[in-house]
Amino acid sequence: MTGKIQFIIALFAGKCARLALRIFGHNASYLPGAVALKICPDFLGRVAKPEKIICVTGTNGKTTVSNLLEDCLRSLGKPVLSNRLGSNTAAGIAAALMRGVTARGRSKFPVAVLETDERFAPLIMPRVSPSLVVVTNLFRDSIMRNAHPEFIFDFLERGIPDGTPLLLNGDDPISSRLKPENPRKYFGIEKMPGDVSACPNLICDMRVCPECRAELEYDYRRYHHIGRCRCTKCGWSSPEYDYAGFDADFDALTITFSARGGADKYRLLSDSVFNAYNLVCAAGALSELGFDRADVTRALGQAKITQSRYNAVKSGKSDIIMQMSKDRNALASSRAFDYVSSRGGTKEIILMMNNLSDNRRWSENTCWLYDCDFEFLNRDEITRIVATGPRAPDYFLRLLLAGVPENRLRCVAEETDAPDALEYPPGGSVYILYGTDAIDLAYKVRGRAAAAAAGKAGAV
Amino acid sequence: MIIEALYPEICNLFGDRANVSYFARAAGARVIETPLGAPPAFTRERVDLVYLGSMTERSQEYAIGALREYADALRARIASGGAIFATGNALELFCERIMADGGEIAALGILPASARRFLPRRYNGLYLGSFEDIKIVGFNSRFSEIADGGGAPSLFKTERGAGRDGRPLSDEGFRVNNFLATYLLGPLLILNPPFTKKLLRSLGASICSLPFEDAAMASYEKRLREFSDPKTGFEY
Repeated sequence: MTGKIQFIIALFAGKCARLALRIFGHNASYLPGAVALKICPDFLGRVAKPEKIICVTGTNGKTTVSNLLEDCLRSLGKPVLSNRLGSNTAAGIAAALMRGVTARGRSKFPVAVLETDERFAPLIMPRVSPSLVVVTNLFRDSIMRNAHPEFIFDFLERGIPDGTPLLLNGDDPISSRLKPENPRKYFGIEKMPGDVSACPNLICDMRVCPECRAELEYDYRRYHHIGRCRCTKCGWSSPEYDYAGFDADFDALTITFSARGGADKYRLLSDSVFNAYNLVCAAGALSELGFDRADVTRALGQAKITQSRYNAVKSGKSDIIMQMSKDRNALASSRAFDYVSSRGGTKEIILMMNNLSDNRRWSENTCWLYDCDFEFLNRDEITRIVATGPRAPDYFLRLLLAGVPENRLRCVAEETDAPDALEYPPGGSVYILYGTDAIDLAYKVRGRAAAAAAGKAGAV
Repeated sequence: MIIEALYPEICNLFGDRANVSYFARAAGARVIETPLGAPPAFTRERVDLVYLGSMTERSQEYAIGALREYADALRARIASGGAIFATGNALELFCERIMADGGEIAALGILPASARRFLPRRYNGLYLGSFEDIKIVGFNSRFSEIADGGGAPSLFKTERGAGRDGRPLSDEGFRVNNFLATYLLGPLLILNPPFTKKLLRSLGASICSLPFEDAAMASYEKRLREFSDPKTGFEY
């Protein structure tokens, strides 16, 4: 009884906090949940929930996949509850679930898509009892918070309830081994032109067999440990796909997706392999939710990528492109570098992935720079790289060690001054690579770069 | 000069492997990478420096298992002044034991010390210390600490941050002859060019300057200023 009263007080207090925050124009996507959890630690277990809950977790791609799923479900006519605007921690999810209940404590939504931080999985998943857990991948992430993939793997092992159906990345030999007793389906992308067998990156967290520790052989690999591998000593191998992407065409921006004995062609969200994985993952999740092939095709046909992560504007004779490159995350930044370096034409780059909040309070741990493939930026078409922000000297040194000629580099203390160090060659692109807490600053830098590019074009 | 990187397929977390590439580049050294299951090169040929980097907790057990039959060879190497450099939790391999929640892991027993894990809690902090007359800057990020150092001499004298036993200002790492081990992780040799030069010279390298030494010193000096600033927070 005490628990029930606690819960009612928590719900009321959380709703009041939400109302107050909304009046003052805030999203109310965290604090109401934190208040509710403080009053009733089992709030997540007690709050009324949608009939179907999909938890999306993993190191990279969980936001994109969650947003895609939510958009698709909406376009298929399903009212969807999500934590899109807020935190993916227990408090953020409590706030989202609270938003989804009526004054009488009933759920207003039939389905929820909850982006779930891997470290919070043990707090969240057993209490919300997901109908499906989607794991995009497991990679190295923040050294301080996430340590290494094995540490995060153990969090998910503890967090995912026994028996919960899983959708796992069959091309990720780490996360595909989660909860071996749970029912599971695998998604993946079949061999593509450009695949390699040797690792093209500095780090691969799956070099030895999980069973016998012999060196693994990769039949094909996209990057790091993503690909299909096997152990020639004990026979362990990557799983077969249930949902497979194939015939990916990054010029035509299409990929074919096979499910339930048929195949359909989808439009890719962008010309990057990691977004192809995000699309195939979302298509697999929709199939797992019971949507037929026509519905999945229709829904994904309308999908778009989140604008804050990648957007481009034309100014003068240059394209100015903002590309999120997660700070303190060597893998995500390596993917961004690989993507930028593979684009055609002359490019100039502003590197501003400093973690601003770390640098305000202490001094950012920069070890991750040496796990990250700055070597991808050593290309003749990249004519200028400006290292900027508090860690500019560290980036500058790392770029030199990556072989980038010094005459292509500039080191600028203030981010807003970085555009002045570019040359804006006609027809070229300027990439602004920014971290997760520097979105506003990146827009400011983009504005200055756009003005400089327009000025340069006008002066010619 | 020859550097042997032991078990690079698992001892490669947190940018540690850059220590080998930077050191090799500075010294013009050849690098031998020895995988799990292969006998270490230092047991059969001259190796100037043996390096071990950070690894996962399960990998610590694999590495201990792989090195156990070479514990006497490691002991002999240390006693004769052969160089070994270990960063991050590779240091714990040389202890007598690692105490963990699930029980005790018998380590190589080369140092009279015991380590204790406090996983899943992670200690994150900056480090400022000294090696002889050289200032050292670095990063701590670990699930463990030395519970009993057994009186073994330390590598660095701590000026700010936590030492090997996790307490503020306690001594950091271990140093026995040319065996150098520290909990500090990541590209320590790139972060600390003066220390790297000293280490290279102690191994007989006749170097005038390090690769990109000006840029490395600019980065080092900025970090040293930040770490010496009392306003800079030291624990994450």
